[in-house]
Amino acid sequence: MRDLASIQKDFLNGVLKENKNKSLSVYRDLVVTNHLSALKDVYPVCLRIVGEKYFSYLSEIYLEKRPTNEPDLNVYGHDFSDFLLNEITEREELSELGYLSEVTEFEWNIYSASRKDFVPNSPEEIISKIVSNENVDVIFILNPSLSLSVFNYPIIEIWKEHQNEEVGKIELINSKNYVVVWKHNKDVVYQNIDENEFNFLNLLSQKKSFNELSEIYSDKEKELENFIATSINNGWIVDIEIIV
Amino acid sequence: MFKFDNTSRRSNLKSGIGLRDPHLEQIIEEKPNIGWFEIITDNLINADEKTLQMLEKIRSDYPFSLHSVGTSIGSVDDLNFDYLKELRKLSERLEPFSVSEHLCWSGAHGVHLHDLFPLPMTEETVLHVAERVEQIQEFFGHEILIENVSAYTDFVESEMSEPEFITQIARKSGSGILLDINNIFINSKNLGLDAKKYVSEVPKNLIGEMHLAGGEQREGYILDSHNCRVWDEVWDLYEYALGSYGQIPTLIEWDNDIPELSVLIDEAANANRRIDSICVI
Ligand SMILES: [Fe+2]
Repeated sequence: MRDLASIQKDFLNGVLKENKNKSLSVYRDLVVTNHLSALKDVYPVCLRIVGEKYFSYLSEIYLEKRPTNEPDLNVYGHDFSDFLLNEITEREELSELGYLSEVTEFEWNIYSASRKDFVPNSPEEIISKIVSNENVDVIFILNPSLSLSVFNYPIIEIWKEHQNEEVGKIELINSKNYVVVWKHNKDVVYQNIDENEFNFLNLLSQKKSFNELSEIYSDKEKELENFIATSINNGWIVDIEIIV
Repeated sequence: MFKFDNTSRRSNLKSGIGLRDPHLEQIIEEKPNIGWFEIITDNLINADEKTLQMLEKIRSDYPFSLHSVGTSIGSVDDLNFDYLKELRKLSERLEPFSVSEHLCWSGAHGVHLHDLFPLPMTEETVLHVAERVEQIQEFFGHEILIENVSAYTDFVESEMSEPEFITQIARKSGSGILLDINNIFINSKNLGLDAKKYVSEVPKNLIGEMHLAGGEQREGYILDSHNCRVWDEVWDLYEYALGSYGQIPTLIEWDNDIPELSVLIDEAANANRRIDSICVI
């Protein structure tokens, strides 16, 4: 007699792969449909690009290859972009859609930012905190919804074009695009930034302290000041933490 | 050590409905005559503060029950305490009269498939699940209710009937039972159980809540779809259950194709009418 662990193993294998077992195929259909609809909610642009039928197909393969251990279905699909990156290299039919993985990464960033809930400090509050802690080292706290990506395609343009009823021609110029996505006053916003700003935000995400940053920017003090000011004004920096 | 027993503290609640997004504002504005609301906790993990405040506002006028779908009680994998922590946080904030989860599993061996799979009804499963229910109750600091699920398959390994299975787990862990009448009906059709016998075999003092819902006839089976009114056969079985158990808080479950609030209120009234005519408290 099989024990509970092997019964569950056999059952899962039956659900995750196409099978002829009628009663398990009911579960398979339910599971496939449920996960497909979760992916559709997060990736409407990807769905539009590849079409309904192919998206369903990809969703089934994704489920089979990368089943999650996360009970919260709201975070299902977090590595769909990485999955697509692999599929693009392996599938002839996707060879023209090199940007697909990047578009889905952008869609995931938008989706995740929209779900983040936090109470930000105003720029004035942050600045007054900085001023009153002038003599101690601090860490700048990044907006918890903020994500940074480097894309090889003009992803914001591609994404925007797919919000229109008719998708026009997009010029796929291959160049580095540094993109930041964050939630600001209840809205999700995104922006192309330059490489220097990107590097600065990256340092903040590594929790570099003000003293450490000053060292890195020792010959570019003014630049550092500007970065900090811009980051506070844009809502990228939302707080500071004093290092004890 | 927990020991659910409703004989000393029978609830006077009758029917309730699920609290769903599209109805929140209407409920706050109109304060409709509804006995209580059920909250699906999984929908609220990482909910924004505004939504939680809306719920607290509704909570100040109505009792709540908290119901979750993601615990995977019967899995051979370890319990996910990060998930349970989220549930406990919500429970502490919303102070429900009951907290419930399904007697099922949703994944194992590192995979979670977000569905409610049935369990093989064996001695091994009883011990395994009872121990986990105990752990959850320790963690929450109170008893929970475990709910019988609908099924489209069963296991040759099973050694006991479904009512025996759920009763043994409830007794061993000290939990109560959330008896889903529609699920008993569906399993009677899909798997050939005797529905009335099922109802008569579950001890009355362990039942903390009942569920009613509508299903969908598919080719060769009934799907537990929660997208329509309660079927007549399910109302019949509910009447039989009320005759056996007396008044028990009863939820109208409607999770897909959610209708106007008035339809849910009407279904809840259909349940209340039966409670009033059958149960003498
Ligand atoms: Fe139920």
